Amino acid sequence: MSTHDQEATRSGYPGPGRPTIEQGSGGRARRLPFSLLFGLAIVTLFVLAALFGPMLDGQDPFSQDLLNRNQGPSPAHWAGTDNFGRDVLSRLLYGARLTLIVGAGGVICALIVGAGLSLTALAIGPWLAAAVFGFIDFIRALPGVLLALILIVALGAGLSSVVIALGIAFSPFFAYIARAAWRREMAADYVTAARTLGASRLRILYRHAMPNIGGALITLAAVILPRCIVTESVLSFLGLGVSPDTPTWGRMIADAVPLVERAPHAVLVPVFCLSLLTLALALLGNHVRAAVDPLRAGDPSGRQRW
Amino acid sequence: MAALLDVRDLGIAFPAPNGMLRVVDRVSWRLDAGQTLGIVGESGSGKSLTGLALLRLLPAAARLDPASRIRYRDTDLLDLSEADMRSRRGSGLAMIFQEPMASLHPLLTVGRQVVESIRRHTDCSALEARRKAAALFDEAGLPDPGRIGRRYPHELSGGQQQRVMIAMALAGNPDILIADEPTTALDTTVQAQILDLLRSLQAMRGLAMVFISHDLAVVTSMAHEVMVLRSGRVVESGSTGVVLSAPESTYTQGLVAARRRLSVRAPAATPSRSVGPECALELRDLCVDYPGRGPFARPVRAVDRASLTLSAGRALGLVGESGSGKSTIGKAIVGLARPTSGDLTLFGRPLAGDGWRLSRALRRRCQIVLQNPYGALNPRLTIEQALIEPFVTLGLKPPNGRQSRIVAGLEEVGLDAGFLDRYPHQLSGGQRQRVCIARALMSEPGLLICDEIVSALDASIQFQVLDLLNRMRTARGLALLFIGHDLEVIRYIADDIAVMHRGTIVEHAPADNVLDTPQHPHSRALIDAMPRLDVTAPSEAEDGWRAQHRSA
Repeated sequence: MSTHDQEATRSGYPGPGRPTIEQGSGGRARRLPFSLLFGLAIVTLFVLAALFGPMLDGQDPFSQDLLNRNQGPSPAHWAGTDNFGRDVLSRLLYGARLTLIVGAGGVICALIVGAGLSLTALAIGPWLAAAVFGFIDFIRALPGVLLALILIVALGAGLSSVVIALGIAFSPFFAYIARAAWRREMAADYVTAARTLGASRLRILYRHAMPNIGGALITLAAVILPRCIVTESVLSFLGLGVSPDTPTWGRMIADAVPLVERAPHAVLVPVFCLSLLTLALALLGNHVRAAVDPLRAGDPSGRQRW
Repeated sequence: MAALLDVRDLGIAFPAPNGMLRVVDRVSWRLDAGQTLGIVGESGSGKSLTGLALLRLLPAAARLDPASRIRYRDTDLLDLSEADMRSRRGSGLAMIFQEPMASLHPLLTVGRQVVESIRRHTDCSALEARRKAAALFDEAGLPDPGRIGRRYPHELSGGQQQRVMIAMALAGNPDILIADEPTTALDTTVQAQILDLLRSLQAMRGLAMVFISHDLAVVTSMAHEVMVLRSGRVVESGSTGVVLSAPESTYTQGLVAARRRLSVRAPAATPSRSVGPECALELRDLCVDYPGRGPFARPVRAVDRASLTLSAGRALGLVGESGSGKSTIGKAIVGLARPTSGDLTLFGRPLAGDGWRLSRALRRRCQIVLQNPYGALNPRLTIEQALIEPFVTLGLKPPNGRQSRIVAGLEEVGLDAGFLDRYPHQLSGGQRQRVCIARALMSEPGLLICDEIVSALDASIQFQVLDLLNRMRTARGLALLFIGHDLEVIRYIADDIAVMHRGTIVEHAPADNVLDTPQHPHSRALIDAMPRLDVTAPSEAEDGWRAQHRSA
């Protein structure tokens, strides 16, 4: 192993005639990385499906064909049919709009409630922060679904109630991440320097801490979004979802799971779409982080210097 | 006579975006038994990689030049199998590193760690290994060698941790010891003790040593021969006395001169031009407590009844070991730490009555520059954005507009408008520290607190920064409170020196008095420990070396 290592270590060394640092020719056009293109393509595809999906597909997502229940993919039904003989693909396309609105709305709401509230409280003062985090710990102690249930009952059913309920149920994740990042920022030398220049805590928050905290929140958002979508299905199952008759991906998964042995495609297709969306969002999130990070973006090589 | 270690054409390269980047380029040297080779260079010169290459512990991405040869006794270390190499590590060549805390396992007692390395190298029982460990602890000068092995690394001081590292390095009975900046993380007094220990170990055991450091004075006090590295190339090598007294390359001349310049005093500032020197800072019996750990712990007194005065245009050096409370005084003045009792007067305004809060007007007149230039600038803000901060937070309204004031401020510290759009990571450490100084000077303060501002910088840049501050002092009547542990730096800039020890100021007098005739035993210990760039001492060592060679 070691001799092999040694060989590997000695190979690839620049020849004696070459300069110490070979300058880049500069003639090569900068290509966008594959992961960025892939993420962009998938997200664009889903957004287009959400906007125009119901128009593209000729099938009626609600028409039942009880003779052709739980059929696998076929030329007539590309993604097969579900337990009521409804076309899975058209339900997927039809449900994309609501699914994405619920997911994105829930995440944005969670961001505002979780990160916004906790960071503002932390910036204003330790007492307020203690109170806010007491409340957030209380939310965290309740099961998410139970809390959402109570909220929807209180707010009345409907899309906005579901989004708000999901947002509040998922807000603790953002709050804890934001608090950890804030504490790290407050210990940084540049925050100390800003304090000696007389900067207020709020200014430290938006000028110094926010740009550094944002990256972690973006990553978390990409992870929480599919969880919002799946949690909505539980609410739908309890009759407190967005609307009992509109298909959402979460609802489709929940409905098809009991029949997974007979019609695996009815579960796999929406699960695959959800996974693809998560992956695409995570990839995009990474590129957004890199683009706003001068340590990586300021230097075309993309290396972190320190 | 064959050398103990013979390094030929050592080359190390790393893959970079535009090809391979050579960081060590055809470096050759040899080391005889019982000798010390000093490797000097600034950060990024490849000196640490040279040391790591000897043990074949280079990072995985590194590529070695095929022509490299590292001959130890009669084998080429680069041809050995990994198993054979492992048996050489520790028993042939051993290494000690800069950060002892990072090199020791935090969850194992130090005794267990040393016993482990003893048993790896020699076949002996656990009991015997413990006995040997105690003997090594004794040899490394640790107190109570029989029982100190039961302690965990965090229970030891930095100097003791480094002694444990030395004991561990000696466990395999090596004949070459590679010391990579072994004292850089330590206080001056502790540094002197560790250097003494290394010298005596070398004499007792006949060790050959490779001593790597950025500090020319430390290296020359240890080494018989010196090699100066710059950007991976040898710019100068030879016996220590010759290199110091007659350096050939301009780079080495610059290094020696930078160090020499510090050992004289800066041109004295003309007393303030205004009527009578205004008192910028006065501390009277100031006490600062930190809360102790745990709910019932007593607070820890960091500063105990400290009294100081500093008038405009003067520079006061505040020195002491780490933990002596000198940084806490600096923090208390700018409001980062809250005093418990006593009083603090800034430009005639006592702060105790105001709840220790600095008004905006007072904050403009009193600024601090922090130790670490790598951390004090937000990596997300450009230099321009960083320099705009004081205008917003301190409500400054310069007559010719912000932009021209910022450019003028940059030019004042020797930078130009081209830096405005850059991010901190695109600047060197010295440039960053100058940006920090420019930021602190934007409000044209009357008092500038410098908390170890040059200790993270290379020697040649240290001088530039100090010279800059000194010019500000003469030009503007700026009062400087210069906190540091490096007495060379303090001697260069300070008119008066205050020595701190465990939270109290034990001596406060004009700089020459403190340095030449220290009154307090602790000041004397600090001054004796100061590494000096002394041409006579190493050349004596060199004579000894010659004599030894003649007899050999």
